[in-house]
Amino acid sequence: MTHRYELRHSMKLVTFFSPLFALALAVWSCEYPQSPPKKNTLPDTRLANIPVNDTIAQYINLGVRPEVQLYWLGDDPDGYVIAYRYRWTDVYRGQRVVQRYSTILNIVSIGTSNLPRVMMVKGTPRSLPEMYRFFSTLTNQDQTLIQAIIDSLVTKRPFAVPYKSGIVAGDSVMGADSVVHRSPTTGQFIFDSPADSNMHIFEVSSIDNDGGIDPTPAVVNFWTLKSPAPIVRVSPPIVNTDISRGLSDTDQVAIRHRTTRFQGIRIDFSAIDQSTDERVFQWAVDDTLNPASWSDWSESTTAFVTASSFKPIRSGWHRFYVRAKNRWGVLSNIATYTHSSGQGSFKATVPDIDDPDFVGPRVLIINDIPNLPGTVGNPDSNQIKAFYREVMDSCGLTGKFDIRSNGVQWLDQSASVITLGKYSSVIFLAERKLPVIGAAIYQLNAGRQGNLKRYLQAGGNLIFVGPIDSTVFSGIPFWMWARDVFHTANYRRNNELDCVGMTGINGYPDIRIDSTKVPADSLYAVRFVMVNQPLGFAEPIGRFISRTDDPDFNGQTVSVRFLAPDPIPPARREYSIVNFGIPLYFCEKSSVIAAMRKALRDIHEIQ
Amino acid sequence: MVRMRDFFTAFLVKSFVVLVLAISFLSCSEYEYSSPLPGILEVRLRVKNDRTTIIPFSDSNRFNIIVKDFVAQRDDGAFLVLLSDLNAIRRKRDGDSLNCLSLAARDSQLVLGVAYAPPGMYTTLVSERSTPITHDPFLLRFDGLSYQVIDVRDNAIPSRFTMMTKSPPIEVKEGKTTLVVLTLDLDASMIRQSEWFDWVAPMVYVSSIQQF
Repeated sequence: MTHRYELRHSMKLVTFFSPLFALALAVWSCEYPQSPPKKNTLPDTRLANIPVNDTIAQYINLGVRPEVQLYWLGDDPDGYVIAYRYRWTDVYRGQRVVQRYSTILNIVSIGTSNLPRVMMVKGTPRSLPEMYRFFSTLTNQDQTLIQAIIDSLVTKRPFAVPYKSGIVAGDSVMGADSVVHRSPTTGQFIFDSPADSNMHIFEVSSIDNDGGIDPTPAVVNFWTLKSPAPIVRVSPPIVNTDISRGLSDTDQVAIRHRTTRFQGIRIDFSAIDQSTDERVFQWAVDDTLNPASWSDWSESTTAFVTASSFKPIRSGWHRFYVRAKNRWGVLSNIATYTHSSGQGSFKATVPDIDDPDFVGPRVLIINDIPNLPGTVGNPDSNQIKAFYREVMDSCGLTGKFDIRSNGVQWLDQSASVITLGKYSSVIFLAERKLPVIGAAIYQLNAGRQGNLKRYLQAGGNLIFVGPIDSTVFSGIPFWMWARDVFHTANYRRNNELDCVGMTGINGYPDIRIDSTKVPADSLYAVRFVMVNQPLGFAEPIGRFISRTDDPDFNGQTVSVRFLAPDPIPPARREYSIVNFGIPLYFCEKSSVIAAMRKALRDIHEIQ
Repeated sequence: MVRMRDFFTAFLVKSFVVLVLAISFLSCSEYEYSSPLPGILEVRLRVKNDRTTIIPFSDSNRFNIIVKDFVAQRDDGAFLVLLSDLNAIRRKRDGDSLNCLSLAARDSQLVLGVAYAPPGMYTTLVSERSTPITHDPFLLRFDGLSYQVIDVRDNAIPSRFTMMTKSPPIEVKEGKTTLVVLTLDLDASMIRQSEWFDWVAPMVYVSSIQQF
């Protein structure tokens, strides 16, 4: 009985105290809402692959290469790592250079899109957790935004974080160099090793989701030796233009800005680097002391040198310099090429017409007629000069032209390009051919053709007067000159006294032979006039008028022009050519004046 | 009695037929969307060429662009494939060559594409589905006696017709023809170099829209 009573009493006690006990337990387990939050536990950072610091072995084994790949990792006991920050300190020659911190967001993908570059943040802003939260909570629904982020990372442009509350100044991310960082936890570093021995200290700290930074960063230091420099070699300059193919490196023409005719004096170079295959080059002409003289760094092993690189810009010998920089930023020696003459790397002529201050027009008439007593149909030099003076005066060029009448031997010299380069246009006369072919006294041999071509390459213009054939051109086949310079082909010569003038087209006047200037037995016609076929942009300006209505020649193209396109500043206009296939001296003066005026207008000498 | 039975049978048959017809009529209803008749969308090519000295318009001169595909797009995203004529079922395998220097090109007579089109607003005349335009590698120019050949080099990857200005919305109405003239600016599309032309891209703009 007593036992049963005790049991019942015990049950009552349990029944009474159990709720009280449960209540007490619940109250005890609750925290006060106003109690202070738990203190954030800071993250910890470790470097993964670094051997023991600063040992002799390391000095010898690692010191040769100022390049290292490091891996690191962070842990946060009460959260997760949202970013890493690191910095380098270089110690050499008694100096201690502390570099700025770089911060990397610990994000590799947004939604299902992998990031093309690691996200870098400028400095270590307090809002780092908010930035991390913003990017890590984007979903595929935000595809437009994700694409914009990816575009910014690829192009390494800052991307301001578009919070719902708006953009906050300074909260932006940028793509990291993909060579340096392939993930947020690795870096391929190249560092400055200018001295015989250099010490480098690397520190990395992880940052947790509360913005807490590891107070004890993972640190490694090691030594490097002086980095070996690349060795550079330079090849001889090459002329790289279409019409002066084959010119030597001592007779080049150079203008300030590239055109399709003048691509620049081409110089090739190469470099041998003991350590890396990655190198960039920088070149300069004449002056290596002025930093502005050096080109931008480029991987190209070819330089196209224009006159604007010359210091100063003048004709004569110039010296070309080049240097290389390897992957570690170590500069090579400054290499140069020296011509066998020992005077420089190359010799170039800069024509006066390329000077922005050149005042035109200036026209040079090359007249190679000897000053012998002339006859009808066989004029002397003075008759030719008088005729063309009158023509040029009538075209409004009084005082703006010179006539050179003492043989074309001066065209043999490369310096002739300097003479030609003082004139914006050249008129070459080949008049004394009628009625019979005489000695080839005004032959354009290979050298003279070359110098005329250089002048054209630099942007000079040419008006050619008179029938042209193999007695005018020698050395290089005439058809090559005709094709490359006149832009004509399929020449056919009329050996009969048959040409009585030309019918002008494309704005040119009709031109007739002047009966007072040819002998009566010539039937008031001239012979040896050639018809041709224009090529490319060449246009016919005159058709053959046959005295006998010879169907093989009558109406065929005899005069041609080739006009340059409008230039794109600052490049100068390329050459234009007007080739009158008939001897203008023997034609009616009024029509010759009109034709010459039109030709000068076409080549932009007069308005 | 027999007559009564026949009458009754006929009555039943007629009633059944009427009932079936009534049910079938009652079950019919209008579509939930409109199904209008088509209009016609025709796009013609006009060529703007100010270099009439170097490359004048003439049926003797030739520079062909090759159109393999021309696809417009309606504002609701539907594509419309335009072919060389209304009855065509496809273009030529190598595309249609259009001579940009012909007199027809000057006078907006070249047909880029035409098709029966569902009515609506065509906001994109040259859609992303259109194939890039290619061209002959050279241009032929006749000077009255002989032809001159001028190279036309590609300065970039071939591209579709590139709008120089935003294309205005083009409306196709039921039973009506909408005629759009697309002008190819040859001066901007083809840049002269010293010895050749550089083909940049077929630069175009809508120069007129007519409806009749």
